Parts: sequence; C-alpha cells; structure tokens
Amino acid sequence: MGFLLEKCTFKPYNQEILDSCEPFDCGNSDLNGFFSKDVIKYTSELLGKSYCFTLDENPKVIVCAFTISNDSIKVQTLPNSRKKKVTKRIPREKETRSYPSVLIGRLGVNKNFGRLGVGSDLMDFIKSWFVHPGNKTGCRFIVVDSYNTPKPLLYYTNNGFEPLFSTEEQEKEAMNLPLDKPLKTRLLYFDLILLKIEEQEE
Amino acid sequence: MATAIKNIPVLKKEAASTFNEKIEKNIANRASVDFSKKVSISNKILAKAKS
Repeated sequence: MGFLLEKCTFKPYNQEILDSCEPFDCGNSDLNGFFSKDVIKYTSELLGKSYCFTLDENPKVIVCAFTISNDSIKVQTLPNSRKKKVTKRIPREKETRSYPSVLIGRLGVNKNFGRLGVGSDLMDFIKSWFVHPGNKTGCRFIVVDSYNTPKPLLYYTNNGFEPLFSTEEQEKEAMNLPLDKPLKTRLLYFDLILLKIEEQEE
Repeated sequence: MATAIKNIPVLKKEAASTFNEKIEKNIANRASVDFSKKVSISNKILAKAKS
C-alpha cells in the first residue's frame, strides 16, 4: 500500500470532491458515470458510502474510488441426514443462515495509475478496514458484483476472491435470469476469516 | 443511470453446499494469511486522512 500511503490521501467521495476534482476516469463509462452523476444521490439515499484517494501533489486528481454498503450472504441448508431420517414423513424444514458482509458496489482505478499496483493496494486497504479491531460491527465476507469480463475477474481472483456460484448457469438460475442471455456481472466473495492480524488497541 | 448493483440471492442446493464446504475449509485455515503489516499501513492511511 506504499503508493496510497505515501502519495495519496483517503477522503469521503462527496460533493466537495465532485466540485474540486477533475472528472474521475477509470476507462469504464459505466463506472465513470456513477462517480460523476449518481454517487451523491446514492450516498444521500443511504444506499452506500463512497470513498476515494486523491493525489497529494495534485489533489484535483482522483487516483481510485470505491462504494461500499452493508449486505449479507444467506445460505439455505437442509437438516442433516440423521434429522432427515427422523423427520422423513414431515416436509423438511429449510434453515437459512445469514453471514454479515460488506458489498463493494463500485470500484475503479484512474486509468493513468493502472500499473502501480494501486488496485491491489486498494483491496488490501478495504480488507484491512473490515478486520480492524476498531470495526464496530462483525463482518465475515467482502462481496463484489464484478463485471463479467477477463480483466476485472482476474483482478478479484488475484486478490483472493472466489465466485459465489461455481458456474454462470448456476448464477443465472439463482438470479432468475434467462439462461440464453450473457451474464453481465458475477458475484465473488472473500472470506475475512483467513486474515491474521495482531491484536491492537482500538 | 449506471448499471444497478445486483442483490445477493439466497444460496440454495448445490451452491449452498459448495459454499458451506469452502467456508468450513476457511475456518480450518483461520488466520492463515498474515495481514498485520497491511493493517498497520491501513492505520497510517487513516491517520493521515484525519490530520
């Protein structure tokens, strides 16, 4: 996280940033549109919070930006086999377990800072934030809805994310999407339980 | 308007069992990735943001 620590400053992505900074350009028109038009409305409706890193030598430059919100992964399971035998004449009760998660709704790196490891540094920062002892709520997973194209998928898998669904067909079925249409985005997750941190004072 | 962010659907059947298997493995490998240095850098980033 050398570049982000030494050359940048972390800030909330708010109206002041929109007014004072050059338009954010990560090379993706959808993300650029969000960070130039929708971001303030999204924040004001409490649907997510957005943050960015600006360049210290020119604070008008947004190096990277992201939006996060609370979410959860819900898993429906059937009772174990022993219980199944006991209750085989009774319709099996489904149990749903919910795991607290943070959803990265948007994440982009300024296209002029693409080869400095900023993307991985940013992901390490987000992971660190949610395993920090000062984090006020429990959070087990980071989830992202990635564009279903090689570059972003490679970025997330290189940073330890795994697809929530093994196949695109499985994901389309779960989302009630037509099987013959392409899947625009894919859900991936990272399990924060894997990370070891030294105990620190909050 | 940018593309809407997808809701996370409830995992069922095969997706649920695969997910459960993976997170059981992760519990067995709990704290296997030393992230202390990265958390320390992250603290410095947050401290710089406050100053």
